[in-house]
Amino acid sequence: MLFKKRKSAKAQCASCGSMLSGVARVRATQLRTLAKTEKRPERPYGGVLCSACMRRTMIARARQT
Amino acid sequence: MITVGRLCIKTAGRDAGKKCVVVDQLDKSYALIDGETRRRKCNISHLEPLPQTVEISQGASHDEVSRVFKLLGIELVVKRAQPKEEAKPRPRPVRAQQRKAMAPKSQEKQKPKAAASKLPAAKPAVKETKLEKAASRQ
Repeated sequence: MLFKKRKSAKAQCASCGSMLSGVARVRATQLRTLAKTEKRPERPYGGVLCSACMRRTMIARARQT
Repeated sequence: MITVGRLCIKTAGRDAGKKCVVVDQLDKSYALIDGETRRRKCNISHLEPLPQTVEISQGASHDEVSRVFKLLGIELVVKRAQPKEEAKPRPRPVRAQQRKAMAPKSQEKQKPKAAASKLPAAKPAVKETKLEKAASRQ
């Protein structure tokens, strides 16, 4: 009998809720074996915000100063 | 708006949020940027221009750009791989046999003096084999 664990939930953008790409959907035990660059995209707010929201944030920050 | 010398902030990619200056305009959609970002070709739609402009020549070198950024108060640091330090050997658990072998020489000098009286005077160098014993009996 091989009881498989369910897949982990999809990563969502913190601001708009869209599905994030570049974030591995694995359980915590496998996540620990992955390298840092394999767990999130290499950009600011990678793994937290989607690329569109990140761009919006950067533009807003640039227009503030 | 995007002309040579215009300060911008990059809005996309791994250099997002960093200040850069337009060094050259290559196309109607591409520009060469340098500054806190890497020196590379960049899409103009990924740049957010700032109200500031600086005076640099078209196609300026990285040294010129870093000098200009210093006047603005930004130090440009070039990321270069640091030469790795040789790893120090970790202290490993030492077995009793190894510890005896590694014993300092001062202890070894003292040992024969103390043990000389205890040791027997003569030790048989070669042990008699069984065949030799049988032969000597016969």
